[in-house]
Amino acid sequence: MKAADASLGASIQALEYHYNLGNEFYELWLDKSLSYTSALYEGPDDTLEEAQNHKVDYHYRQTHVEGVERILDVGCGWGGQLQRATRHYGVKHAVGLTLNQPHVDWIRKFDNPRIEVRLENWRDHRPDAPYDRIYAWGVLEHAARPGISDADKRGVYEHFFELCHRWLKPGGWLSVQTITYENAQRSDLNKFIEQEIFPESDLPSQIDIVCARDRLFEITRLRNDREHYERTLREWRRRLRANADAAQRLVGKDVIARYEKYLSLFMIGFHTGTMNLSRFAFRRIDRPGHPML
Amino acid sequence: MTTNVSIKSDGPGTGATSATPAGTSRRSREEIQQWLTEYLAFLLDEKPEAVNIQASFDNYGMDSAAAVSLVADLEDWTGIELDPTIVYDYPTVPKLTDYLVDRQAHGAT
Repeated sequence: MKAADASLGASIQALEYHYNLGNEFYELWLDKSLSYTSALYEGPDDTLEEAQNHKVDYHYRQTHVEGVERILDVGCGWGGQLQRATRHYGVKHAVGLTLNQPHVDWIRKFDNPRIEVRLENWRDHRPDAPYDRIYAWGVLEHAARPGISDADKRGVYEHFFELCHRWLKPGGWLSVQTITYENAQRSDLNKFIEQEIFPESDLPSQIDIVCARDRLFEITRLRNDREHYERTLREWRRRLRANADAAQRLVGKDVIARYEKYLSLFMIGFHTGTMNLSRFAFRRIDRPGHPML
Repeated sequence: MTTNVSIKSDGPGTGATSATPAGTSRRSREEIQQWLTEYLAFLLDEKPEAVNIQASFDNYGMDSAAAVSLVADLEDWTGIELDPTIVYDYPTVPKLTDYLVDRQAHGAT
């Protein structure tokens, strides 16, 4: 099977199952920017809102985004970080890709002429022009399906990095944030996650990523922040519980129970080091395979 | 030990113990220890006196889903909001009992 084949990753239907419960539901328990990936806490008193901004700022600083022309955000969600890039970092044109129509509708309401959002799989993306920076947070978790061969799984991640390399200008930077297997592999994880929460989605390991970027990108920074994800999940769970009545009216009791269970299981996964939260910064290697010896 | 714990759909918290409404009176150390012991006995399909309370929950084959269920039942029984991770930080009946007694004494949510 070719690495570009979309059937190697989670389908649109599988992603909609998790992400398409309506914006109002997520507004009840995510932060105001609706960032649905791990925050980055800089201190014990940080609010979730502050920590989500710290996350975005961290990645933007690592990739020197200030004042660049064009960025791509693969899996842009509700687009809070696109707003931040254009408003606080002087980015001229920010393109977001998502597979969920509610995300598109939400972002278009920003009415921000510097933001372009597309309902598109990253495998199908054809840029109008090269990018200065690419961001992919919470994307590689869904890039490969459980059950595909190890070779196919490796091929998926290699294909991702090849595309990013192709889409970036010389001197470009890439930022990846993803949940990774740490002291576990797929068979160790709870079936509930695979069947009820993130169907058709397998996680990468850090070694998958390190190998896949070989001679395409130089790793300039890697930090593993599972404690930050645990704290983020604790806050999501607290907010969901605090808004349980409103949430129940929107999505029903069973969905609330399912989400609460998933948030709890993930808290345990990060707490025990079964999974990690890996944040990578990469510098594009402009002449792969041509060492300057 | 790799015993597979099978949790019944109604949960041992309502089946093996005399549950009382949440957020009511403080539980004594003895009550908490008894509740946890009976809970494990129910999971293992053993008599409470056959449960080695010094053994780690992990040794009973308790996986993360079972830990989440245990904490949810504990929350219902004690009326305290708890992190699902406490089963890993306080991994035996006496340690978890100490923690819960402490939580009750120092401002349960």
